[in-house]
Amino acid sequence: MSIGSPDSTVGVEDHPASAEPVRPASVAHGKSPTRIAMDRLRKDKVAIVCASLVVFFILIAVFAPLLVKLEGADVGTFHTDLVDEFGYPTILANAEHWFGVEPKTGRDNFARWVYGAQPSLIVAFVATVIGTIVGVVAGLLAGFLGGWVDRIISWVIDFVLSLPYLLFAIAMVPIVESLRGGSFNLTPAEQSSTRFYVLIFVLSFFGWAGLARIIRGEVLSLREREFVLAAKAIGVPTWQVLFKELLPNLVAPIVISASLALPAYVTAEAGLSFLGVGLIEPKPSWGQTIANATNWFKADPLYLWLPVLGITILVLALALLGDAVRDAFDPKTRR
Amino acid sequence: MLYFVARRLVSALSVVLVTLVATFALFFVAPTDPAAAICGDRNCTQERYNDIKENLHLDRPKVQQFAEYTAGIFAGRTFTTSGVVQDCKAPCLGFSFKSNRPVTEMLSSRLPVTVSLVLGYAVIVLTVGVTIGSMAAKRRGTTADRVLMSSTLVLSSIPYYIVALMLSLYLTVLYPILPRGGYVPLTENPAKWFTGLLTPWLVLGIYSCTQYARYSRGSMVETLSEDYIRTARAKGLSDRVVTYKHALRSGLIPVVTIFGLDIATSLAGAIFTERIFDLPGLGNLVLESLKNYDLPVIMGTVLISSVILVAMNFLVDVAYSVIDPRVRLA
Amino acid sequence: MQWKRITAVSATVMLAVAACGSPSASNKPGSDATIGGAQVKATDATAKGPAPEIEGAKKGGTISILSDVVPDNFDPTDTYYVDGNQIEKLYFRALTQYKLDEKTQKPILVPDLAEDLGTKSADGLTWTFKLKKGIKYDDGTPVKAVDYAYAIKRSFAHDLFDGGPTYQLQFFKDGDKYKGPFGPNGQNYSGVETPDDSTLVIHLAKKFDDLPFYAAFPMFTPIPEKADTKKEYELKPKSTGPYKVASLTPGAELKLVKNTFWDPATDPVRHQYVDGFDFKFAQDLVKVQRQILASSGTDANALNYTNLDASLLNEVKDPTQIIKGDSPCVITFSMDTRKIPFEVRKLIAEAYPIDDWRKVAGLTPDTAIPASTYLPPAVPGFVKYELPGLTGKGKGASDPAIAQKVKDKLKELGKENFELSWYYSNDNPITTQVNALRTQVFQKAGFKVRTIGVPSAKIRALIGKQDGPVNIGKAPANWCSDWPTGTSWFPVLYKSDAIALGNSQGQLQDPKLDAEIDRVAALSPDEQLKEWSKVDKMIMQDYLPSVPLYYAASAFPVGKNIGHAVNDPTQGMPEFTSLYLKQP
Repeated sequence: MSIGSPDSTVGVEDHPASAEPVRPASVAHGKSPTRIAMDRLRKDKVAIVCASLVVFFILIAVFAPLLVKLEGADVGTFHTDLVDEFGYPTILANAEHWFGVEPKTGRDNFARWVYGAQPSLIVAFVATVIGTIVGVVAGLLAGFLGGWVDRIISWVIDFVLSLPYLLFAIAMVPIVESLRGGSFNLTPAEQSSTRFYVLIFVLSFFGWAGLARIIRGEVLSLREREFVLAAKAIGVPTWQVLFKELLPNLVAPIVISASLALPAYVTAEAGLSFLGVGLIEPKPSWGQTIANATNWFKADPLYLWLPVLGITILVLALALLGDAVRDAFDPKTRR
Repeated sequence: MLYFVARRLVSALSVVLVTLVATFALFFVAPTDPAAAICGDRNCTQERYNDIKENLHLDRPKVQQFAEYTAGIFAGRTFTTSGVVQDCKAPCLGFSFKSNRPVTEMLSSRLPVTVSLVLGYAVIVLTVGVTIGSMAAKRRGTTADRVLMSSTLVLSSIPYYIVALMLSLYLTVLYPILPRGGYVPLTENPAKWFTGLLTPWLVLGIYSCTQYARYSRGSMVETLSEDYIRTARAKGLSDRVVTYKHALRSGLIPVVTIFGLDIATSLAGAIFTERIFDLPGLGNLVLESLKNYDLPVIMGTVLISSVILVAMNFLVDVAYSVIDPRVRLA
Repeated sequence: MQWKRITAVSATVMLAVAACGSPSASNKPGSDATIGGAQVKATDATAKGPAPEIEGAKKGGTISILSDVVPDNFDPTDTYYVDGNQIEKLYFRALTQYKLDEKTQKPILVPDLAEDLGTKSADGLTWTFKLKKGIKYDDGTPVKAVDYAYAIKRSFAHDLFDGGPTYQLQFFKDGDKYKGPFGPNGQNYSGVETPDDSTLVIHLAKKFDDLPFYAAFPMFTPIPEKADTKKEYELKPKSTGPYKVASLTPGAELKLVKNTFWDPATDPVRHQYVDGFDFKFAQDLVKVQRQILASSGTDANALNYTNLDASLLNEVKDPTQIIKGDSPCVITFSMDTRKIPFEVRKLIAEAYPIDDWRKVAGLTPDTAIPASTYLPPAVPGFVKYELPGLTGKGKGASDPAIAQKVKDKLKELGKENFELSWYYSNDNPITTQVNALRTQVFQKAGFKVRTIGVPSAKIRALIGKQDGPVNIGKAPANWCSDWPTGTSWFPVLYKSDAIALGNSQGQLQDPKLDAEIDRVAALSPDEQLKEWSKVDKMIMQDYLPSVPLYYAASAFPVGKNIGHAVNDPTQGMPEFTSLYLKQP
């Protein structure tokens, strides 16, 4: 498959990639599953390294304005004096432009790279949070209430999962954009952020269903357990049963699903921007830069390879971290 | 069993129906003006604009338009332009705004390309991917396993289009080891069909192998720790027989499930591959149509992909219920 | 003709590589553009076939044309864009055609299927074309005069063939009422007559002296009514040229093979050197251009007709592989003269950052020649002149000194913060970057800037509205001539009635200018050649409806084995009909 699909949680969760019991046991009785998992993670070197990498990227994104000020350039300024009449940059990396400049426009590569980290991370995290919340609520309601609520929600889940995700995303971006009042009377910056929200919407729209299906399944088995029946019997309100009794038992599938969704969204954002239906100028993003830079990869290698490297390392770190989290939450690897 | 199949079928059909409504609503209710798009930028007089609206029934209520569109899919319909009656046979998805050709015809000329692409891809991921996965599972915990698994993870973290672009550039243009991509219909020349698709298959296949290797490894590891495998080993069966005869069979079930859905997604999602290797498939058609706001074509493609996806889902469910009777109760 | 290819190219997914070493281009192809000189002859009614043999030309082989752009369609009635026109020239013959002068490659209008260039009646409203005898279709059936008449009738079914040219609707008799041969009463059209089997008479509603030029469009190829399958006709059309359609897969591929019923003795323009042409469309631009430059194996027999991508400049080892020449287009920065005063227009021209803009827009000296006139070098009658500050070069207000100067002058005029507004495509990185650059620079020069971003698919309709809510960049800012004469430029673009026709550059409304244009347009074609350049200069000096930016030029790559690859300035495309393979 060519692009990370957010519903890839389906089926995977039951078969974690490295479920073999290799890690040392360190479990005392009486700890919550979350607590146990955190303890294990803290001892997992791969997890620590990956987490630090992710934090590193987050810091870059957060402090982008500061870093750029440190370099002394900025994102939007054209330096056409630094490219020749054919559009080729006349400088390599130097003190003013740490990563060189873009062909044709002469904009600063470093500034565009650090700012480009922002949309990747924000889109991925926000879409994951929204997708997770909607998925959990839908799954809880469907599984716990049953009956016609369950039938409707399950049907909607089936429906969303049957839509050709990538195709729909591509077709939906311009349409949702025009539904939002079109692009007239907006400045370029406002339009660019419209696209940004549209992208988050599209990714979240397709991302919740997989999780909802898993949560529903878990709840179906949990709701017949004694502690839930007891809570119901003594008259605890439904919402309290859902969120106080059931939810804590669902932390593992939720965390696992989120850990799979994050890297998928980073890839998806870049892929859609690469195809021209994701983010647009003037907001810099890695996907856009890659799309423009593929032509110039020998004339201005940093222009292409920095965003590629950024995406690759971020996705790899998130994926490995996800693996580690899954292992940590997997009861089979517990002793 | 029959009840289960019937229930799933009803659900599948309702999904298709709602997709139909949803795509229609999205594309025709959205504030776009198809008549203006067809009328063009120059020489679009008010009269001509009204003519087009009338000919395409765009001046009628949306509900009626939808009813006509749906009826066209099952019974066909006719359009009248400039006095010419154009017959659109069932399943009629309308005419392209851009080229004025029947959408069904455009789709059916593009579908074989995408299907050919996905076929070869399927063969590669199922053979190479699963083999790598089960080999790794058998040797789990060894250096070979770790190297194999981490390299697949690294490869799958690089954006696919970069991998495909670079491979196609280096292997077909700068150091032409592999034949250049290009589509020739199988019926026309099977040999050229094969060589033309070989490189896209390999590139798409190898990249996606990584995911399949990981799935099948996970699944196999689980199966290999089952009791019946231990029993088989205890009986003194050889390692080969245990791994590839006993374990692989049940270990593959979840992989095949994912595969069924993945193939359906790929039919719509081979966009990058088609774009990079210039294959005139469905994905390329969507991108081209999107540039021109050619709504009937986009709608047709989305619809046909949804139908394929729903059908695949249905088949997987039914197949699964045959393999594992417990599913029917869910 | 509108400017098509620039938008089509920029959206493709591109892949590329350049030579190693310094990131700057070290091996640039020469950037000396030949600016055309004055020309004395535009037509030759006496030209006869066969076309003179090209020295060293060999017969045989197949040429493949790998194109990134997909032509709209291949129906002769529905073809308007340059790529379709040029490809169809291989298999459709029209009433007239362009022949390229042996030495200068300048286009000369010659009779093709007609015996002459038409005879005009005294009132100029009736044209008679004598038709050549013994012409056959590719299946051996004879071409009849009624087939020409039918083709013309067919062109009035504009709703069905909405991509085709539309002068017939405007100038032919009943052009505004007649809806083509397919509707009720469709056969009764009094605008064309065939008194005998070798005469075609066309009746006009208004004078249209460029009709012989218009008659070169593939729309004027004969179509037998019985063979007309309407929208399907392009799949199996009746050919009259040296080649015929073997197969067409719309959007993907077109294969042409020799038409054995073509008689070279009747054709003053075309040759039949190679056995066939394979067109492949929707290819990845940079990939195919790289293949053609490398010319290994069959790639040596291939060519691409889009301008060489700048990122490939370092890979050009043999400069003769890049075919250069003029194209019939001028790109300008148009200003609505009704909304922007003349003095402010001059300041806009002064502030325009042409040098920076060229770089950001990805223009190279090979493909974009700085423009100082409204008529491009490709059109006969072009005479080069340069007015100070309007040379298609200069830093404009990206130079702080000039920015300050413009700002001060605006203040003097009492036009501080004069608002400039325009549309731009917000889903294309290049147009967005160009927009950012223009905004920055004009703001520095003391203007207020309001920009409206719209999707690429909609921008053409929006900028085409002559009364749209912007004052900059209304179409047609970029114009390509429909035929190589001044009449395809000045009367179309600068007369007052151009606003109503939706074709006005700068929305000029000046009776004095109208009168002058009418005076020149009434002269004979050869006399006009001398006069248009004066009108050109007058418009720029006294009206300045737009800032001339560049003349589009061709610079496309051809494979090493292709012989006699020349640029056809009427289309800005390779002349396909005279290509041959050096080693078939």
